[in-house]
Amino acid sequence: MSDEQPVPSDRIIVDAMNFSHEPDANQQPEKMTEVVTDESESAPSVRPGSVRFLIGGMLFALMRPRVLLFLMLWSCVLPLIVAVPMFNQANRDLSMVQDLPGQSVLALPESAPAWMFREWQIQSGDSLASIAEVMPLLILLSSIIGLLFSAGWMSMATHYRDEHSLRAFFKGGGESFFPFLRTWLLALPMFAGVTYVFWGTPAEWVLEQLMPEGDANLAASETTGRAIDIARQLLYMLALLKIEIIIDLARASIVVGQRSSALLAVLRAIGFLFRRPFAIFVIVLLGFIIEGVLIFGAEALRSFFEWPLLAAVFLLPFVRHLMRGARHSAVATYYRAATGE
Amino acid sequence: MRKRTTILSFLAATLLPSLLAAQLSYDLDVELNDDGRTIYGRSLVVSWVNTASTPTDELYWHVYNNAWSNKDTVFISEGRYYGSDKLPREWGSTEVFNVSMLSTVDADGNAIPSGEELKFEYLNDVDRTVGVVKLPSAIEPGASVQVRLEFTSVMPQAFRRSGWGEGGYLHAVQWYPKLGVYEELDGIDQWNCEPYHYLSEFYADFASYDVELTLPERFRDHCVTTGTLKEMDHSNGKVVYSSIAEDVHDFAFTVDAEALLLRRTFHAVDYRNDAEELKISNALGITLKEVRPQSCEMILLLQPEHAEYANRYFGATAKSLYYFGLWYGTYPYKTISIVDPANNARKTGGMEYPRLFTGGVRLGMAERTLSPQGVTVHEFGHQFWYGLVANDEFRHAWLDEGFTTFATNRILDLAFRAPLDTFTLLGQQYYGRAPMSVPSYGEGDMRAMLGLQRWENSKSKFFPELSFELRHNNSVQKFLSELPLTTYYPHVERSASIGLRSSLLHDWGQPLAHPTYDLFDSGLRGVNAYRRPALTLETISRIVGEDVFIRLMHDYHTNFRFKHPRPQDFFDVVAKHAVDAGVDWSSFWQHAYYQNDELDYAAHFLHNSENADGGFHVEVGVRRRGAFVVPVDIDVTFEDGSVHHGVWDGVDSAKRISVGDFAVKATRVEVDPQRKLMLDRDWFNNSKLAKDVEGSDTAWHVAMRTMLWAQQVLHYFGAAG
Repeated sequence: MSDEQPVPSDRIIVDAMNFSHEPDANQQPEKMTEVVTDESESAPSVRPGSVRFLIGGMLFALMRPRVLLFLMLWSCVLPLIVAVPMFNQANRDLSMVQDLPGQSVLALPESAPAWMFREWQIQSGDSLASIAEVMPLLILLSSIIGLLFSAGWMSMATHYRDEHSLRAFFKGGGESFFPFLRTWLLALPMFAGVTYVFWGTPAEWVLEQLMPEGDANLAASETTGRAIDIARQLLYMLALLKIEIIIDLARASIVVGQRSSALLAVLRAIGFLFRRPFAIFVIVLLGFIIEGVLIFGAEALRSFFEWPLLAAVFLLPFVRHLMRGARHSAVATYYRAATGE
Repeated sequence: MRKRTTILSFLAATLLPSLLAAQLSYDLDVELNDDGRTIYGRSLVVSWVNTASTPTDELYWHVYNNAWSNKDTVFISEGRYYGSDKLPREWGSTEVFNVSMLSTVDADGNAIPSGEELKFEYLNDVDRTVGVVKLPSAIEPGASVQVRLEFTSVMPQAFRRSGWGEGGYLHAVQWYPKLGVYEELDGIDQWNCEPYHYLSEFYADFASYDVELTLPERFRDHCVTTGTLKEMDHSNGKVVYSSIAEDVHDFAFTVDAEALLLRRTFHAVDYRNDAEELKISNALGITLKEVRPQSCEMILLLQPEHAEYANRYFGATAKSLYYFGLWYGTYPYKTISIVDPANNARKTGGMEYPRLFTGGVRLGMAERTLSPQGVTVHEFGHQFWYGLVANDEFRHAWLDEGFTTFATNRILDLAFRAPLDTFTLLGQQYYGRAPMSVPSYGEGDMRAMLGLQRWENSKSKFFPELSFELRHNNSVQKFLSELPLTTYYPHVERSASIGLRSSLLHDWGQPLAHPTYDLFDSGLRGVNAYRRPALTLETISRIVGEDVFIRLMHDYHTNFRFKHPRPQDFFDVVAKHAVDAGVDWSSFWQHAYYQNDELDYAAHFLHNSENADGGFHVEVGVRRRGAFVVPVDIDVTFEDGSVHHGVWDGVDSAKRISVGDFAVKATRVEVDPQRKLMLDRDWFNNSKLAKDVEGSDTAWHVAMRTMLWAQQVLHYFGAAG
C-alpha cells in the first residue's frame, strides 16, 4: 500500500463503484485515456488506492445477490458428488455402530473416536478410496468452470456494471471463456516451471549448498533443516501466488481491452506487474486476509450459537464467493483504472 | 498357598540374581579414538560356564558390527530381498585378533592355566557376523573357560540402530564380540548364534560386565552406558569411565559432545494410581507397599534443540517405571538411561538395550501426539520384555515386541490423555483430521492430470514422453486448500489399544509361529511381532478378566526373569491361570498362533414376531465368518432399555437363536458387546437393528464434514481456474 499515490476521490468512486457514472452496458467501456489526455504525465495522479478497489469490489459483489446465490448453490451441488456416496457408505457401515466404553460416536459433529475411522478403513477402505478418486476430476471441473465465473465477475465489473442478472454474469463469462481457457493453459507450464525450480534439480542444488547432500536428515541441527523447509514452502507459495496474479491480470487485460490473445495478455500482465509490483499484491493478499477473517468469523459464529454443520455448508460458500467476486472485480477495475484502457 | 507363592515370586522379581551372571562375564578395557568412531578393544576377557547338558569345544560369537562391512552381508542382502537398497553411507567393521585361552576350570572347580593362542574364524567370510573359536578341548557341563582377545571396531555412519552422526554423536551397540547362547535347540544342545538378520534383533546370555571405557575429553559428562558408574578419571585429554553391569545380556554406550545430560529420580509416590495399586494388590494377594516399585535414577542424554521435550521424556519414563513395576515387579537396576538421538543419527532411535534405550522426536510435536512419550514407553518396556525376560528374538520376536506393544498401549491409555489426530503446517502440528483426502498419483499415472498434480503424456510418434509436476503438495498448500480449522473433525481421539487393530489392514500372510527372521514380507514383522500378538494378549485379557490376567502375566514374568522363555512357556502359564475362562486354550493357540485363522463373529438378523398374548417372540441369527472358534457374548437390547445377555459357543458357522418371549420388542442384537474379541476382523458387522428401528445419524455428520471439506477444496482449485 505504501507505494500508492493519492488519487482524486471522485475518480475512485466513479471507477470502482460506479453508481452514477456507469457506462452504458451496451456501450464500449469508457477508457481512462479519454479523460486523461497524457498518460505518462498523469500516471502518478491516476494510480488508485487498491484497498478502496477491494472494498468497492466487495460492495459490487454484495449487490449481485442472484449471482452470489447461484454460485453458492454451485458450491453446494458439486461437492454432493462425493458427499452423497460418502453418506451412503457411512449409512451402510456406521449407522448401527454402537459406542464403545469411553469412545462415543455421538459427539460426531465436533469430535469422533479414531477407532471408528480406522475400522471404517479396514472394512470399507476400497469403497472410500473409490469415492475419493472422484475428487481429482471434480478439481479439474471446478477449475475450468472457475474460468467462467472469473470471466463473469470481471466482465460485469467492467462492461455490465448496471446489470445484476445471472444472464449478464454468464454472458460476460461466456464472452471471455475461451481466452481465459488459453490463459489457464499458459499458466500450467508456468506452475510446472516454478514447481521445478523449487522442488526439482535447482532446489536440490541449493539444498546441497546448505546441508550435507541436501538432506535435512543429515544436517547436524534439526532447526536448520526445518527453517530451510519452511522458507522453501513459503517462497514456493509466494511464487505460485505471483503466477496467479499474473494470470488474473492477463485476464483483466483480456476483459478490459476485449482482447483474445492470451499470450499477449500474459506479457502485458507481466509488464503491468513490473510497473506496479505492490498494489496488485495488496488487493489480492488483503482479499485473502479478509476472506480468512470472514470465514473463521462465520465458523466461530456458528460454533458460538451451536448452529448445525448444515449452516456452515451455506454460510462459508457465501463468504468465499463474495470475496472471490470482490477480488476479480477489484483486479479488473484496478487494471482498467491504472492502464486507462 | 497361592499368596505365599506369589510373594516369593514377587520378591524374586525385585532382586538381581547375580549368581546367574557368574555363568558369564565380560571384562572390557576399550578406548574410543579421537575420531569418535573407532573403538580399540585393548582387552576383552570372557569367562563362560557351560550350563547345558552336553560338552562343547567351540565358542560362537556375534560380531554384528560386521553387518556394515560390505554390500553382501546377510543383513544387507536380506534388506535387498525385502526391497531396501539402502547402504551405510560409511561402512563399519570389527576385526578380532590376539585370541588366547587364559584358563579352564573343570566341573569340580580345578583351574588349569593356559595361554594357548586360538584362532578366530568366521562361519561365512562375506558376512562375518558370526565367529567361531575352536577350543583345544571340550568344555564339559559345569566347567568353564576364560578367553582373552583384542579387537578394533569401526562404527558405521548411523545406520539401522547403530553408528555415529557428524557433530560428535556415537551410539555404540554390537561393538564388541559377544557370545551366542549354548542351549537346547530342536532337541539338541547347540550354539544359538544366528547371523545378523534384516528382520531380527539380538539374543544373548545374561552376564556381568566390567567395562573401562576411555573417551576423548570432550565426552566427559556427555556419556551414558548400560553400566553403573564406579569411577571417572581424566588425564592427558582423556576421560575414563569405569562401570559395571550385572545380570544384563548386552552392553551399549552413547556419547554426544553436544548433548545435555540431565538426571532425575523416579519415586513411585509421585505417580501413584491408587485404584491400579489396589487392583494389583488384590489380584496378587500382596500388600500395597509390596506392590509399589522402588526408586530409580533416570539419566537423559538430550539434544539441546529438544530441551522442551525433557519433561515428556522423563514423565514417560517415570510412568513406565511405575506401571511396569506394578504389573510385573519392580525394575531391579539403579539407573535407566534415555538417549535422544542426534538429528543426523535418527536411525539409531527407537531401540532398546539393557538399562539404556533410545527415543526420538522432531520439533513441533503437539502435546497430545504423545511424541516422544509413545516411543519412550515402548522402548522402556523392553527393559522388562527383552531385558529381564530375554526370549530368542531371532525366532520369537513376538514374545518381547508383542508383549511390550501390549503393555505400552495399556500405559498410554491409562496414564496419558488420549492422543489426538493432527495435521502439520510449516513443521508445527495442530489438532484435526480431514474427512477424506485427494488421492495422490505418482509419475506415469495419467490420472494425475485430472487433479492438476502432474502433467503426463505417453510416448507417441509426435510427442516425447513427458512427466512433470504442476504443483507440489506441501503443508501450506494443503492448509490453504482445506482450511482445516473449518473443515476437519477438530477432535479425533485415539485409543492406543484399539489402534492395534490397524494390523487388520495388513494381509497376515504367515502365522505367528513362523520364525521372525524368516518372514516372507518385511511388513509382516510389524504385524506378526508387534500388533497381532498385542491384539491376542488384549483378547486374552478381556476373556479371562483383569484379575486373572494380572496374575498370569506377573507369574510368567517373575518365573522367567533372567531366563529365556519360549512360546510354550507362556501358553502353559495361560492354561494354568485361566482354567475357568471357558476357553479351550489348546484350540485357542492353534487358531491364534500355529495357524493363520481369522476371527469374525457377526450378527445376521433380529426378528420380533408378535405372539398371541400381544408380546413378541425374539429370534436372532448370528454367524461365524472365520475359522477361529471361541465363545462369544451376545446382547439383545429391548425398547424399554433392558438387555438380555447370553453366550454362544461360536462353533457353528451360522446359528439361529430363539431368545424367548418378551412384552416389548427387541431393538438391537450385538455380538461381543464389550469388544472382548480384539482379534475380530470386522466390528461393524457385530450389530444388527430390528427392521423398524432407525440407526444413528452418524452418516449424516460424516456427509456434512465431507461436504464442507470438498466445498473448500473445490473452491480453492476453482480459483486457479
